Amino acid sequence: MARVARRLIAIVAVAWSVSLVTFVVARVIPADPAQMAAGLEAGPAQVQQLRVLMGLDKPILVQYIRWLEGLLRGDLGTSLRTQRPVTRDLADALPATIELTIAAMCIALATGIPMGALAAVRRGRFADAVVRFVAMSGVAFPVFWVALIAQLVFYRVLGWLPAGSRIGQDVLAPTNITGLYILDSILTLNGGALISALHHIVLPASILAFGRWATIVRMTRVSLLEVLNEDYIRTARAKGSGQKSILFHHALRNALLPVITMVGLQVGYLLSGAVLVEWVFSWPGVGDYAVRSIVTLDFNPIVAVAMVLSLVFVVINSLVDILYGILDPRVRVQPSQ
Amino acid sequence: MATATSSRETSSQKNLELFWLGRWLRAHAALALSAVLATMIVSVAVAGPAIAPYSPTTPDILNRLLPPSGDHLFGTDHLGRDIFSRVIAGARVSLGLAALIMAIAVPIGVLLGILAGYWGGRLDAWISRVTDAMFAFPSLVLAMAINAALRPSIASTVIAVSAVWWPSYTRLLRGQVIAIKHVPFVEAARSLGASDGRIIRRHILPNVVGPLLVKITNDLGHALVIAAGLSFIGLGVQPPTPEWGAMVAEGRAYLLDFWWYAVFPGLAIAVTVLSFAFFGDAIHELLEPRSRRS
Amino acid sequence: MIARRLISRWAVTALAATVALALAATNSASAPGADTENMTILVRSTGQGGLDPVVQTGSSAQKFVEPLYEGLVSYDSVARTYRPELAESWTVSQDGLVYTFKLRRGVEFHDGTRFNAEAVSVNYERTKAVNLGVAYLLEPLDRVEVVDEYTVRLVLKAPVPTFLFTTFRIKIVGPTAIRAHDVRGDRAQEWLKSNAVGTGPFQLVKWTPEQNEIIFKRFPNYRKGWKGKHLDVITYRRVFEPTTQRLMLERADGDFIIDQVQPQDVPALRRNRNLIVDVWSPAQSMFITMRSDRGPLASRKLRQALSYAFPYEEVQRALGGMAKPLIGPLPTALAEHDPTLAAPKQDLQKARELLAEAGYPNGGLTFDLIAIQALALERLPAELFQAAAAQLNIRINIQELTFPVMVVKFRNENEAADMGFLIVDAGGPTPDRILFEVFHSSSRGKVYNWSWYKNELLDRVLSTATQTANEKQRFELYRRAQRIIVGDAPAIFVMETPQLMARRTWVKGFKPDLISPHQLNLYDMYIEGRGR
Repeated sequence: MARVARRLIAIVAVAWSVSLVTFVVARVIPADPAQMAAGLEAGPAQVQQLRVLMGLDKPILVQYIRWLEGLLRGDLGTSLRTQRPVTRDLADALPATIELTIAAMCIALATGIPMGALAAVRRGRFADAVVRFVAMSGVAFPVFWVALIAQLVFYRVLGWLPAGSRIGQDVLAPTNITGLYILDSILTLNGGALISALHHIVLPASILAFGRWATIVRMTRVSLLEVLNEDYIRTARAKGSGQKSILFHHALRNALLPVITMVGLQVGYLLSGAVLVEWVFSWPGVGDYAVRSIVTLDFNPIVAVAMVLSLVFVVINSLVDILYGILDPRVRVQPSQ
Repeated sequence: MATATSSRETSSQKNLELFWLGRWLRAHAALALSAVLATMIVSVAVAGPAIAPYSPTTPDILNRLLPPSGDHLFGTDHLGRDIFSRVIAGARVSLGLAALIMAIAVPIGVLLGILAGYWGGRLDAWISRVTDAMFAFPSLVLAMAINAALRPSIASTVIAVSAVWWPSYTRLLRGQVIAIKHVPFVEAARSLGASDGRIIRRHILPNVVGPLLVKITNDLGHALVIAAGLSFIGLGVQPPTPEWGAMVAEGRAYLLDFWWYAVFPGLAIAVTVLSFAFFGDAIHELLEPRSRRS
Repeated sequence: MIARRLISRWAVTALAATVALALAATNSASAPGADTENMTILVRSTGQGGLDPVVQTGSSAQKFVEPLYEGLVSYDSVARTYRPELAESWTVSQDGLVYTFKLRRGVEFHDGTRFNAEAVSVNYERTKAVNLGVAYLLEPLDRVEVVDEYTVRLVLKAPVPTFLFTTFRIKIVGPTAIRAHDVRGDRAQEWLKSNAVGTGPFQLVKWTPEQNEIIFKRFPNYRKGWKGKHLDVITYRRVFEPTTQRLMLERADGDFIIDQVQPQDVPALRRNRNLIVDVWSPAQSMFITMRSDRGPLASRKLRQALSYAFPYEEVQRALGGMAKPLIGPLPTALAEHDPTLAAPKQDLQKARELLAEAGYPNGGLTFDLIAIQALALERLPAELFQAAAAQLNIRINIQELTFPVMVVKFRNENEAADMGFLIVDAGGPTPDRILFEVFHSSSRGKVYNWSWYKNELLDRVLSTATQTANEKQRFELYRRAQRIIVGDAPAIFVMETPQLMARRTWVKGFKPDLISPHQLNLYDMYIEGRGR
């Protein structure tokens, strides 16, 4: 219980510090939000009016306090670029990124774990080296480069997969329940939307997954090797193949425990990597939103995105910590392990 | 008679030696290859534009967008500049960026890690909290925001990325220091009255160098990719400075008809990161051959 | 072994999934839009913050505002004459102060209300009240008189020879809608950001920023009727990356690229038999503005030196001859262009001499040059200029920003950079937009005088020109203005910006507008021959 409470405090503390830092950074940005809100054709008088209205003429501490107040009310400000409340923009963008991240995680685990298992079982041999090389490429080849090449090959040359967006142009997005197109189309039994959504998510998710291979493969391989060398496995091996297969599954399950904890950390990296993939594939997620906001020096979204991303990260990590504690009560989880 | 026997012995001895040498080489093939590759890349970076066949920055409009050929190994870009020369010159920029980032992030991270791990208590609590918070930070977003605020340049890119890079070093060092701190040998030394500084210098530092070196080598590649990513969005290095990520970004607009433009810088990044990563891995195995981690 | 079984199980599943997706791919890759009267236009952005025709006058907004709204008159750039639009006919009084318009009858707004003189009056009054965007064009307007339901009189304070241009640019919004959606006296500005009630051939169906699309549908009661071949639904789809736009066009996932095909894509697109590429030079000038009020660039000789250093021929060559040289500040499409001016040429020797005269014989200066993000048309000249200046030991730092950010920056006296790329189109058959908005001293900190240039003589010449009714005298004044500007060199005349568009062969009826690059004659366009 105390641990949960401590976790909650940590979450709040993190969110607050992230907001503070990003706020300061964003305020340093030399652009005039008032002019941008007023529009290109506005004269200096209107801009000044708007500046006062937006409270930009007050000292920075006051601005920060006002912003915090708005935050507690659930108001994250307005985006100058989209002219909508940031909360609405994020409500639209967040599910897109979550869906992409989950899909990427699934693909990464589904392909990475068997690869890691293969490498562990064939340790020292050719297959091991190949797997490790391929996994490493995921990190070595910059994700934006891979995205471009993939787009070129799969869209232009082969025509198998679309160039971008979450769903086909002539397909209606499924009714909004969670905002995750795949889930929503399953829930509403919308076959057309489901296929189109899957079709559109394959490429960006796979590219994201590609970047995660290195860590997943390595972790699976290492922990599986550790477990495989335990006495009970060796005994089972000596006893014969029937025992072997049962215990192999036990081994895998134990080996996967550290991999699961790592999933939490991976999500953070995925969210970062998603930025570039979303950019290349016009995927309307948080990363794409963040880049566009940064590039147009749109202050409110930048701060909001930084906060939301870090909150998501911390929450997921906390959940994973708790999950790990439940799954393996032997483990004493230190605060910073 | 003695000579005949000894010569047979020598030849079989030689065979044995060759056998072990071959075995040693094969076992360390990855290390050897990646070391060679990494050294090559680093020397190219150091030599810089001096060894480039053409000027990496002077435009030559008449020769723009030529495909790879004998004259231009990697083709030319939209201003007629030789891409091969730019990739070579870019090695210095990209690697230099990565190295600078390491040079700032590592000392900070290591220092904080040692402080936290060795002295523990409140200092540790504070440092750990900050480190945890930093980990939560969406690093790329923050780096982009910093760069946008500071006007993108080499300096701002270095600052932005090192600002989000140091926490992983703090975490590593802290863990290492805590582990070593309680080793009986060290406890003994402390009870004998050895000063903190001496303990750190004599016992802790030598033992952390190994993992630290591995991490740095691996991270060099990552830092390079992050810096390239920033340049790709346009928030990193500015033209006409050749930087691999920026070149891929440039090449993107020409990808469809002039594929060579984006492909070669991207390959350069991949090859560099791979060789550094394998090098790091190989060092890892070298340092801990006993553990079943190989 | 177990591993092999596991692996093979995964492999089979993966393979199956891929096959399924490939099948799905071939199924859904059918021609988009079974209805052949629909067109998808690919755009880089869906307009910054709104569709209000008073406020939004940038090129980005013009694409979206034009199909929705109409003005009293329209301009035919080929015949170079004004044509009746919402006004049937008009007369101008002898003294040039009174314009009387006879309005069309039976014209409906998108919401079904009737167009009449009151609507005109409401709109002109609204424009003045909102006081943004095109409002400056109404400064000479004294009052609007509603004579009867279909006659309206506009009375000026002083004669303005180009006043018809104003009546072209002021669009008419449904007055009922204006009144109904007025929030705290904002004259429906907030509502009009994402809604539209006009008399134009198309009406707004949906604006969903989250879906990257703006959709227009045919307005069934449009005054010209829909006999013959026309479009039914127009979708503007936002795709930011030009390369992706091209890919989509090639695969028929889009029908028309209107904001700038990249110059390097043109040869390949031309070779594609399914595509038509339109390249033309509407009246658009591209400048590099130079900060003339402070710093080293306040020296005219230095600015002239830089003008001689600029590699004009290289830029032409790099753009494959698609861009014409800009001779003086005005494009040649405008009648007021001074034919006696000579095209600028690069002359490094002259540049060095001028540098020395300016006090910098060895260069040693550094300047910031701002360009629009990801716009090859600006990037190329920027980089070539950078290299050329390097030969004079002058360092130029290129920085890329989005256009709105640039505007904000350059309008701030302390933030405005040393140099910036500026593309201005004439917007109509008059040099006033370019000359006033870029070079008149009153435009500093507003509009587009990014050089912060002030020349009182020029100001007087320009003001006099706008009030001179005699055409010959007026032209002479404009020529004088051009010569002054060329002499002062507050900007480098980079080129006449070409407009590059590409479309599928089944998009028919498109006529490039010779004056306005962003005008699409959507009403006359239609789709024919789509399908595989």
